Amino acid sequence: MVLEQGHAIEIVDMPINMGPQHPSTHGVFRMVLAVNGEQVVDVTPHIGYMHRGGEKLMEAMDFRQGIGYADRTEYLAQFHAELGYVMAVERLMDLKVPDRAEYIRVILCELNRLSSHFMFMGAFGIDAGLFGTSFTFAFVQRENLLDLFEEISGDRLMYAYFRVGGLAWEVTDNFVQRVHEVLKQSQQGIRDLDDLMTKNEIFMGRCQNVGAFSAKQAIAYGVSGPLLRASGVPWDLRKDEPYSVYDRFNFEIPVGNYGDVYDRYLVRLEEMKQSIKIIEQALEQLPPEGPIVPEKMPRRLRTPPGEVYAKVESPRGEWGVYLLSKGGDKPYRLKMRSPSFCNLSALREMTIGQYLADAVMILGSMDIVLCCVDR
Amino acid sequence: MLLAAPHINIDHPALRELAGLIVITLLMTVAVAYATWYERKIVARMQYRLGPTRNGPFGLLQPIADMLKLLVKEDLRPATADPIAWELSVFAIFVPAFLAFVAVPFTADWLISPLPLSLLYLLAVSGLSFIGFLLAGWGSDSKYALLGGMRAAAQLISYEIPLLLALLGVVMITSSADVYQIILFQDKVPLVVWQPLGFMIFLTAAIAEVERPPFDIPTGESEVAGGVFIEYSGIRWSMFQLTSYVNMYVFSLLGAFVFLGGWQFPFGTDWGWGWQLLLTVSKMSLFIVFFLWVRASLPRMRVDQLMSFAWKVLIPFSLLQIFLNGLVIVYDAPDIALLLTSGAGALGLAYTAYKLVRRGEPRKPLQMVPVRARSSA
Amino acid sequence: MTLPDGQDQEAQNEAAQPADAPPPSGEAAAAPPEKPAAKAAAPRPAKEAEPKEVARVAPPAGSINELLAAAAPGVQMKAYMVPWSPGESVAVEVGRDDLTAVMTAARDDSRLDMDYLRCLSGVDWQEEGLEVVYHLWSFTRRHHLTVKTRVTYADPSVPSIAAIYPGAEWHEREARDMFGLHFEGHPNLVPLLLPDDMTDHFPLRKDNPLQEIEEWQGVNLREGAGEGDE
Repeated sequence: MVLEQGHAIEIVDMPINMGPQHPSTHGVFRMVLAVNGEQVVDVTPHIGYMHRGGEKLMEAMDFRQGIGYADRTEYLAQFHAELGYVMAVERLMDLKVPDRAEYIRVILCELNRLSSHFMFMGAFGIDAGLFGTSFTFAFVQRENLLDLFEEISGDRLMYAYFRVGGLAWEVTDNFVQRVHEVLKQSQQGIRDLDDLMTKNEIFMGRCQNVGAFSAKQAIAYGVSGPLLRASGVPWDLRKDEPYSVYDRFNFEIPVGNYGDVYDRYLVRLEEMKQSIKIIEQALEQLPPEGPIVPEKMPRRLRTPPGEVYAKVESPRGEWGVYLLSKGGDKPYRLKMRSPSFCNLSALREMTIGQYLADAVMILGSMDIVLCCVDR
Repeated sequence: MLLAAPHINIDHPALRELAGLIVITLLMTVAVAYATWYERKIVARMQYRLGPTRNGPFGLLQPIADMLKLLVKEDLRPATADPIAWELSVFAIFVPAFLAFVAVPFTADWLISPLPLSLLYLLAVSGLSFIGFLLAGWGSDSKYALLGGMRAAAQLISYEIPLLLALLGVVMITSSADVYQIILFQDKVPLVVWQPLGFMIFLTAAIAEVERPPFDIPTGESEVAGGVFIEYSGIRWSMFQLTSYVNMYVFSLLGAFVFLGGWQFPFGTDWGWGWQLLLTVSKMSLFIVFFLWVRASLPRMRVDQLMSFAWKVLIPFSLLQIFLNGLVIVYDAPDIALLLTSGAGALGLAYTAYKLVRRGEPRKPLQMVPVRARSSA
Repeated sequence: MTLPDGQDQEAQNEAAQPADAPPPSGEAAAAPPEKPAAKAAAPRPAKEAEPKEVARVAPPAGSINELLAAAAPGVQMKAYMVPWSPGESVAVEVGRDDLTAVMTAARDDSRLDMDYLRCLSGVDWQEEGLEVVYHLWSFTRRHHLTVKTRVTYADPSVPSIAAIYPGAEWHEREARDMFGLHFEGHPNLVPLLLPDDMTDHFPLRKDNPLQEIEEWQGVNLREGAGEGDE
């Protein structure tokens, strides 16, 4: 091929579309990468494929109906979403939740953290290229947890079990014993996954020094949760702004040093172990009997006019509920501050300059759920 | 009946070879189809799963069901695909893989075509397949396929070199490039004892040549989408998959013959074709199970890590192996010197690979910030 | 989310809202011990007079609003308490044009050090316009601040703080999608959650009616909702 005089070969960055249909398990998310050879030059994330108008719908649902929708905005950390929502309403209505209900809430939330992190472990192994071993190991553990949740709430995934003021109904009689069983199995599962992935040289080579994100950048982007802790900021809402009964437990917060993908993985692995510690303490401190709703529980849930911002530490980060009420039984404005949304906004900064193969690892390490991003 | 050696009673040598080739091709096709069953069952068991169970007893009819399904699939072709390149790539990958069976001695008597340089022939023929990857990558007119094709070609070419050099070390010791002679050489001690470093390099390079995990960049990655074979469906895609298994068989057989002693060690040629076949098959199976095990346990390497591993680690060590062999041969050292030098080299390789990953300063572990209970129930 | 003829739905909406107001106060007056929510009844009488705002309590001396006033002198701000959030949060309302100065001061001033933008929401106050609410937090000083600014429907333009807090970029895009707020100086104000070509419908505005089923629920199940096992 002979080039005519005056023509030059134009070198452009190749746009690559990782379309809404992903072989990975992250959900409907579209990323357009511009690559120069093997290096990513630009990333444009496109979200909104799962936008269901949640905040508008919540304005039409009263404070009991809204719990069902809160589940669906965070389908891997449902109890945390429910907790954020009911906590906001309880603060507005100035309700005191009885201790037994609080302890059960904490136990269920931490079990939910375990199941969400197991999901992360499974999906992350697949992103790294493990054929499916991590996935099945993780999901065996998730099955145990989901079975337990089904015994208590009647549903495997969308629980709608918390209510404003406490819980919907009493837990099963063998709750404590069942939770101990599940914890034992989960500990074995964590050990299995740890042995499979943590010290694996190829895995380490794929994860270390990939997507490093400094603490300053993370704070500027509003990142929260394990991503923020992996970047070196020792911030956990259970420690720094404790809610429910989290101020009654001794546990530890893992904090990373480099903010790369490996640190995020290690932080989540360690968090699972700490969750087990918290659950064991909660089981010891659980009052064996007691009410699960306050005595003076109003029959109609009407909040006074006011606004509140309630936040919980979900497995992904800070799940916040900004509830504005003008009186009445429905919110006037309900904004769900979702951790995945804020974490995902930092994707561009994290991925530019990395290799193409690392883009998948970085996205996997952020552990987003699209329902939370899009609401 | 069972003990009489099956021979093909055709007088004309060319026809006999042709008949042998047809028999081998059919047998290997079935064997390769059942390799998929084998893989799915074994990998599934390593993953808390069962694998195929429904089609036939123990899922044994699953490969047939898969084949039927793939045969009746719609024959899709991208409109902008280069017609010649896209069509030819399937054959360019598939045919060389089967050509290798011509020179493979399954037992002492079962050899279609005795070649004095059969080792060279096997390597040459299995190295031809990279053209097929390039054709598939370019002809598919898709960015993913192009990237996958480029990476596949790079990987295959890079890992050819340590493979060849490791086998060259074997050739130096046995003074023969004929697989048959190499097997006969190993009547007392298999070559893996004399050449542990060569064996390790061969094993790693073989996994890369076959494109199995952890080296499955061309077929598994390209943005987690399927790589070179993205635009192929139905029977064409199944031919690619089968080629991958045929390659796996060829390299397993090669490893079994060259390093583990084939049908010669430990019983020798006196024990009849049954035992010889059993030995061949079981040694080959060791390799196959190893490939499957590695697939289920290890994640995928990144392209640049893969290439740097080939060029900066495997090739220098394979050159080292040749050098050490040369020293031993020139100075007429006893055979044990081979084991000592090569063993030391193998340890060096393991140490280098270990250090390569954990290079740089030791990583700081996570800090654990304690939280103390501030109130009580 | 948008219905072709909004007339009937709007009428229903407005019919529903004032009907909401009298029963709670009536019942609160009639049966106080049954409703712990009546404890917060202090703002209730004010609700009748000012149905849209709570009676505002000024923050005590030494609160963060004084630090903000010192850091951004010459800015008009109204400060009040938001007592329902833990830690007794302080909210400050500023004018739209002072927003950039306030935000820059909040981030850069060493006594405030608000380096974390927690949340950015839009609110539709109907007759009173659109509001943008910013929740800020400081990791080093450990204090909250809520900053609010209000604009009118006719001129829904707010300066963008994406240059000050990079995380605000996506929040502002979402607020534009949902409320039609225009953020001046935003680097990339294109739809985020809505389809790329949906730039003129703003779903979360109150004049965008809800779907029929939610409307029906709102009207017909209103009395039954809240009655239940608890």
